[in-house]
Amino acid sequence: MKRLFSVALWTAIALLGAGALATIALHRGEPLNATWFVLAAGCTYLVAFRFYSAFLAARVLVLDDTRATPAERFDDGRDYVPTNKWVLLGHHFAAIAGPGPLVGPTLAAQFGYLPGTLWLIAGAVLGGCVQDFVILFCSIRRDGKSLGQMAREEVGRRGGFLAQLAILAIMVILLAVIGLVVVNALKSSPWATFTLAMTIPIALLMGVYLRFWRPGRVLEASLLGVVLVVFVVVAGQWVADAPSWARVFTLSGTALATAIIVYGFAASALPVWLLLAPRDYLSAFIKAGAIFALAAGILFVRPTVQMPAFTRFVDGSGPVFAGKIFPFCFITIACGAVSGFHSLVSSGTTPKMILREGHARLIGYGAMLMESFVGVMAMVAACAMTPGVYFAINSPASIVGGTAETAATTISSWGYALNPQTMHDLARSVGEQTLLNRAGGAPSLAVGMAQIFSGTIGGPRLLSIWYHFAIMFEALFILTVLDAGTRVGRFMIQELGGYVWKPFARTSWMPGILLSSGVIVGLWGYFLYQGVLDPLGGINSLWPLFGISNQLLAAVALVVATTILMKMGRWRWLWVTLVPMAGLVTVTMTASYQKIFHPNPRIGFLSYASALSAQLAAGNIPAAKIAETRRLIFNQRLDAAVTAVLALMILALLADALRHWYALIAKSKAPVLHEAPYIPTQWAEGD
Amino acid sequence: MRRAPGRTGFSLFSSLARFRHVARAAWRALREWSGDAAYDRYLRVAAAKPGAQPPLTPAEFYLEQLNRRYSRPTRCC
Repeated sequence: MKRLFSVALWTAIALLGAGALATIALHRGEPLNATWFVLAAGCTYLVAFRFYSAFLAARVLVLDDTRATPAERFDDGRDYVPTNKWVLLGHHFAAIAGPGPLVGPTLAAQFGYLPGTLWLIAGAVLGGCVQDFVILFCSIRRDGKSLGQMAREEVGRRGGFLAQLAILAIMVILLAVIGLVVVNALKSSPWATFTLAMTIPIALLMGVYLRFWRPGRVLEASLLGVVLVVFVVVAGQWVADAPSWARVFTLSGTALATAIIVYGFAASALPVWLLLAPRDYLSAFIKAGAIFALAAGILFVRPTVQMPAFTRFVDGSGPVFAGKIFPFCFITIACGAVSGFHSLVSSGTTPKMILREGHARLIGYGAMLMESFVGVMAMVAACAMTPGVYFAINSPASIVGGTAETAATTISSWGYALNPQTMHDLARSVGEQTLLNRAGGAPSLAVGMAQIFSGTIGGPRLLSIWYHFAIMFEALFILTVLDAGTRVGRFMIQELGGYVWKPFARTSWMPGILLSSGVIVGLWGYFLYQGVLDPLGGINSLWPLFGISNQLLAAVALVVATTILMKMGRWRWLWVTLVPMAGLVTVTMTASYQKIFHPNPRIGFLSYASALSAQLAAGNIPAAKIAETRRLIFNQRLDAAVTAVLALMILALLADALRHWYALIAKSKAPVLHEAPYIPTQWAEGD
Repeated sequence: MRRAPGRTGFSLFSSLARFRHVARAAWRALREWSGDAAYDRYLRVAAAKPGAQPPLTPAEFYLEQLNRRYSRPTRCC
């Protein structure tokens, strides 16, 4: 009887999910209600978790609850801490969920709602969740080793080195691009700039509280911080209304980029308790709160999706970023579907805290489903505004013009009606002077979130508060990734430098700290600054580069996972990691090739450089712009070189892995698995 | 659980108790998730290990935790 009920229940969920997916895929014409998106995603996740992850756990990985996990064997209350699975799920989710699943889907909405939504759901279920789960499992079996260490041991020394290098490369590009998202969200906005600037003294106050007054009392300090942040969001309005103050906080793109670079350096070089850690606590709470609020808001307001299923920009001529759905939709929505970065967390803190192997299913697979859902919500929020408004916010001035009137004329000529007055009214209602040309995804997401929130609480009167709350929320946790990432990058550079000169690797040696902080900040700062100056908006070249490097890291992780499955003798189930890996390699290679060699100057770096050189040679560039054009040409070539290096790295790793796999298949080499030995758990069943 | 018919007072009391139980579990989970309970936990583990060195003070433990946590990727894109 119970079994019959279970079969009926799961059939109903599967049918409901299939019906919702069919509705969003086949629906044309009238705007569609967002409930369909929630149903399609929710039911697919439930079915995938119930069946596919159970299959992975039981057949592919054969999780063993009788085996003691690293957390049990090395429990020291410091590094290895056995943790309740629901608490750890929250921990792991807070670590993997960053700005990526919010920004990527927002940018990909330019293709229409359908391609992005389908990839978010399918990519997560078949690719991203599998990667996170398998890497978590591999790391648990190896006492919590990192992806780089596992690559070195299981694939080979060269593989390990390439993985390390890929991690550093993705870090640099990631930090530059998210810095650019913050710049585009804050430029010429005194309210948002004031609010974000004030989070620094708030974090310092929390840092002192946690270090000297009440050491380690995170909840008290965070409560204090959250109250102060809410206050400064409201106070930002007074600053924006007072002309003398507004002038101080109205910054240009380049000024903001410089400020962010200085901030990144400070956060990396200062003691971690002073600025980095308290900001992280603050951002974790605000992130969790805002994501829950967005989910509740979407369920409560049930907005209609105004964007069509497909826009005309599927042909590759999109104003937000150029390129066709394949491969650019997959590169743009990296996080939210498959994120290589997650493999660093899955092989970092989480495996050292897991109580039982069986929990890896909920934490590895389940947390990524939650992240994918965040991506779907971001897609809904972006598509809930009219397409005209969406394109006006996200297109660079070089394409739609710098005023509401020119933008309205251009965007209307694409077939997406836009009245200039709408843009003026919208900017005024959210308390900004303008919302035009703010590529990067954060402002349009903030408008979408503000509309949803104000539909729940406060109505149009509170739209400006909600908008700035959403901007603060995005910028706050982007900066948290920025400073934490800079610090990790600093350690990596110190480690690499240590091979050349020993003292450099000492993490407490001041000259080493300053120099390595300077190097990492200089690297991402350079790309950030050039992105701000780029007339095509910066996001157009940097975001695809970030997507490529992220998917590259995912491919590295899946190569390691496939190698380990081979060595474990799971030949029958290799497709589990091999198919997503092949997909990612295809996407990354196609995108890299197109970004380097495509004849369209908006897509191909080299053709853009050639077009500019030709203009320069023909004397079409005014004298005042010659230096700027030369710099642009150099940057395009640099971007092409970076893309080529990333692509070559994955090819080298793949060649190395293929050689290794061939030896395993031909049995010319005995499979040596570097797993920790089996030790039975001492804990009773219910622990 | 079966309830005796007509004993609404008792049921109110038991649901209040259940609420308190859930609230307490949620509070414990929140403290663990945020890191608020990390020191208490460390002391329990340190006390259980015989012959160990004297445990760290709250401030020492807090600093040690942070330095370890922020030297490897803990935040994603």
